[in-house]
Amino acid sequence: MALAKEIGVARQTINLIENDKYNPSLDLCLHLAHTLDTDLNSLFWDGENYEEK
Amino acid sequence: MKKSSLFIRYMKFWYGIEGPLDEYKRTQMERIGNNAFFLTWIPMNFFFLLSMALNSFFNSKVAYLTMMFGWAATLCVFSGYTNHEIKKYGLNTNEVEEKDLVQAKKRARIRGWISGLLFGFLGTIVLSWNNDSKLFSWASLIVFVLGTVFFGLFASIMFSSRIKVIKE
Repeated sequence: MALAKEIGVARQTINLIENDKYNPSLDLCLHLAHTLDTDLNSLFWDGENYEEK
Repeated sequence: MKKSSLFIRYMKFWYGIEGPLDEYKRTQMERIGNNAFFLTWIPMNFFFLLSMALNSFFNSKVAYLTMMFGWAATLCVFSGYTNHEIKKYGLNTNEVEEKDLVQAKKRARIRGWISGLLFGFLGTIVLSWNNDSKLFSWASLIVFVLGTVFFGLFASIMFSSRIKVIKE
């Protein structure tokens, strides 16, 4: 909820992104990465597990 | 946070969206609106053309009734589709934290009763206009009170049922 409030989206949207039910726009992705103090690779790709999927 | 424009607030009101209009809700809202437009536009045109054709073969009353019933049925389909999609994608869910629950319920009740008042007022005006009766009469007052109470109660319950408590 705190993350959703900080970014300015609904908690439901964050939930949908986490459950892979919604593909966010690049703008939202960058905003998420910036708020969580990480980069897009770490946030959206597991790295080692990605190819297995 | 940006102050939303009047148009955005109007759209949020009709879709029943609470909280921020983020990209997910906006995408869904636009998709539902697009589909609903075509669901309505094509049948309405069809019934309009049908009524024009019926007018040339029968009389204008048949044409008028065909068009009215056709448009009424189309509006029912439109309403059913938009309500179904809004509920399916959770657009009108009002997610609140437990500490904000009491305030949210109070706001929902106030909003419901304001809707009831508006409905009662508009209903009174329409009924007195159609029946050529006086606006300020006992019958109008009864219509106003009953309309306000029943619609206000229904709207309050409906807005309150949309509240969903988030447990962290």
